[in-house]
Amino acid sequence: MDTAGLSLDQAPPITIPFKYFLTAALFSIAVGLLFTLHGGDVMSSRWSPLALGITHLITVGFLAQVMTGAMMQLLPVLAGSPIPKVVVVSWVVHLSLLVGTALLVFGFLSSRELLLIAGGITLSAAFLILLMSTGMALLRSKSHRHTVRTLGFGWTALAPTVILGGYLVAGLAGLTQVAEMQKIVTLHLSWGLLGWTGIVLFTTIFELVPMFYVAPGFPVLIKHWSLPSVFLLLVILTLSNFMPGAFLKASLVLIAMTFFVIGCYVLSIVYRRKRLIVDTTLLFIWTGVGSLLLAVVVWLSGGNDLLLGGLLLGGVCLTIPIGIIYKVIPFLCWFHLQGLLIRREKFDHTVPSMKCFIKEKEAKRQYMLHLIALCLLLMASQLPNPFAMPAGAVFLFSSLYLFKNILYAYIVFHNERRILNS
Amino acid sequence: MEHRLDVRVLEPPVPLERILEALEDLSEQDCLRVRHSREPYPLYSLLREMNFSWNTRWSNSDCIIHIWHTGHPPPEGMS
Repeated sequence: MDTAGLSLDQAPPITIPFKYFLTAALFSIAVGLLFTLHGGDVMSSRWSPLALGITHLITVGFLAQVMTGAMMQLLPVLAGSPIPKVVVVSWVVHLSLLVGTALLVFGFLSSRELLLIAGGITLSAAFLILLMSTGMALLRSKSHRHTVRTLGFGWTALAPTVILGGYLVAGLAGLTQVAEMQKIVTLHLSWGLLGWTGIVLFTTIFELVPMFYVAPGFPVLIKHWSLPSVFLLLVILTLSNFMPGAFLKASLVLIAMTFFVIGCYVLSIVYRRKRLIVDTTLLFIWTGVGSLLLAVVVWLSGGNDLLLGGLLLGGVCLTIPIGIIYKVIPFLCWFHLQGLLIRREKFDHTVPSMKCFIKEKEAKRQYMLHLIALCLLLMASQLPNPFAMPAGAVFLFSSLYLFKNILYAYIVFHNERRILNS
Repeated sequence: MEHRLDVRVLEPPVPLERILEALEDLSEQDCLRVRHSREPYPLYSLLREMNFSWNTRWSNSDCIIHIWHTGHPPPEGMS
């Protein structure tokens, strides 16, 4: 008999992803609020304290929360291996990420060195625990599929991101002298955005798109080799600091081209799907991948940093994860209730369909707000006045809507669970 | 007797629903053979709760899962 898989007792409680996703939406609200109040200043320079604060609210506040929450639930589903001591680990990592992000962002905004250091240390601790527990789950996985290996590359990329980030924080706080600050920032950004975010996000997409949209699988070259190649190119990029400048540029161009090809394949696979309905999750994925393709074109043609930042942070990092959240939450709610129904032997009861947890109409409304905010943000990157403030305001409403939609799904789940437990 | 179910072109959670429906009617001597596009890890926890045993193997790009009542003889070649 095959004994792979979890018992329902071992399955991570559903409160874990909800906790992470709701916190991510709160950080997204904070981004909208800051942008509404200080949008023009944010767009003045990518190095302004506000720009650094908002960038980290998006990457560490929103993105890290979504990716951690999703990973804690998806590892058992994709790799058949849970994160060890998932309840304790989830509480510690969630709290450290929450407090660390707040400290770091307040540190940037107020230029207080102590807050920056405290934020840097707290976040490093959160990521260290996360890396160790994710690593153990991946190593324990009985699945030898390439997905497990590629996820390993993605989470490994977090290590240099955190080390370089810590070094930069130490430099900003005056604890050390950072030589060649520009190069270190490029490496920190590259490992974080292209390595950790890019690899983990697209490994998830490689699994979720064929599964949920009944689409053909990705070609072996793309699924098995493209993202490990990105990791290898990032290693070359890092080593190229000791080589002539041309190596650095060549590595980045190859990484950009790899993501361009990946993006084209995602669109092509989605186009060939058997489930022809276009739901909101698909709109988020299309918008995110479209932004990625545009970002590569803008970067290769020497476009400005603010437009590139808007496309990558707003168009990709804040967009694709929402599509994943809207796809994953209803499935998890349905699955946990189905398990409860079997355990309670309440076979006269029917678990609500996945559509009941996040209403399509509500998700689409949030998408429209998100899309308008994104367009305004891209226009603001060229003309901060008058577009920055409305971009922030619409994004604020969109984030509030996202929070409401996630909370609604939890309330529906909670009510159904109460009925099954009664 | 072996009952067959092909869930390769169904979107989640329909494959799980179809398998659970098929198991409701599965007599103790019978076995269900499911053809899936991926290894359905979440299904296993439900099978364990429902007191079923299973065996999973890959055939080309398809995942084949044999499911039978625990305590009853497994299908030929599965023991």
